[in-house]
Amino acid sequence: MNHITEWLQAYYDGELNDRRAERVAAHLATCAACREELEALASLSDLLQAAPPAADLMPGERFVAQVGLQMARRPTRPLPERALLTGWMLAPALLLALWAIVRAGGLVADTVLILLSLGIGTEVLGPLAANPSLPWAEVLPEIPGVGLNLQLSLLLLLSLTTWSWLTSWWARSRNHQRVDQLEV
Amino acid sequence: MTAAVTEVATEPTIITDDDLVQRAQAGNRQAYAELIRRHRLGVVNVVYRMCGDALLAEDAAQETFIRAWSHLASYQPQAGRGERSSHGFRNWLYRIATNHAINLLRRERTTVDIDALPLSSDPARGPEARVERRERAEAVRRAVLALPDASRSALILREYEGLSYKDIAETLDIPIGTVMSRLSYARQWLRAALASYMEATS
Repeated sequence: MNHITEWLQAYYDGELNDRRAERVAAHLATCAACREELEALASLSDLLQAAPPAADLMPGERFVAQVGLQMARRPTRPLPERALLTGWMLAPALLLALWAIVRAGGLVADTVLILLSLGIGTEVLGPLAANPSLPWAEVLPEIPGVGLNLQLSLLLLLSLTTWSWLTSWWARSRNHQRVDQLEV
Repeated sequence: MTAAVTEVATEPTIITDDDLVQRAQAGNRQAYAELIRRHRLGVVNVVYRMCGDALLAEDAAQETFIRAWSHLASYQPQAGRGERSSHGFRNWLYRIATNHAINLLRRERTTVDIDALPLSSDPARGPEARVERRERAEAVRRAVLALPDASRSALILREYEGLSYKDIAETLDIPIGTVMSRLSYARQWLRAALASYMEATS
């Protein structure tokens, strides 16, 4: 019995397009076996409804309230936005670190110079002793027009970033205040 | 007192689920509360019919909504759908619910005895009818619970929640062909398991 049995279920569930549904209907008019099959599907559906839905549930509003209590403060943001946001928040810290490294380069060089001048570690630092003045800041490439104040430029960038970060954080927290006011 | 306290009558909903979802995604909890109201019973019953325990079902339903809230960002209205479907959110919600139900079942498979499940309360009238109806309700409930998880979910979504094949496919993340074969299997199996009750229905 392989003629249209595959389609019978779909026909029963109303999932066939009009053309196919007509073909099935036409076939049903002539095929008792398929009619019986359709009857069986309908009987099963009726029988299944004998099992009632869940009863004795808590009132709807209580359900809603309980869910509300357990919901996180706000829905989590999608991942790319989160990554961008985290990166943005960390930018001042990163720039600070960069600036510190640049400064530290100078500190290390100064320490080496001091040690050398005190006569300590001349064996290890022998080669360096030949050329004592090697401030590491000079190793950094010079930007024409900016002059030697690379550090100042970095400081300026750091300030601007921190400023914009602060203002956007402030704006964001004000936005959320408004949304939160909608809550009961 | 005959007048029951009714819920505030909402006007015919011009606001679609996706409208509410967008507001909820922006952080509007009231919009999400409305979504909960709309889909609470559906979710509870999907889990109930998957697991067989009404108390468990309510807990699991709450869990579903909590999870859906925290993953709300990953739901995209009308994403990847050829024609506009108004059931996108419901399908997505039911997916979370069925997955949660199946996980619960797997965890408690060894401890839950189907025969020991609490009898569902069924308000029947008259002594004979009551016994008969209760017996039949129980037989059907157990038969459905005895189905394998995969076919049971397809059957529940089709026969009890009235989802289209397309929506079932979306909910369970399977091809439509698989929906049809799982349905077919479930129905054949149930007809055999409930053969003695099949003639009784008019």
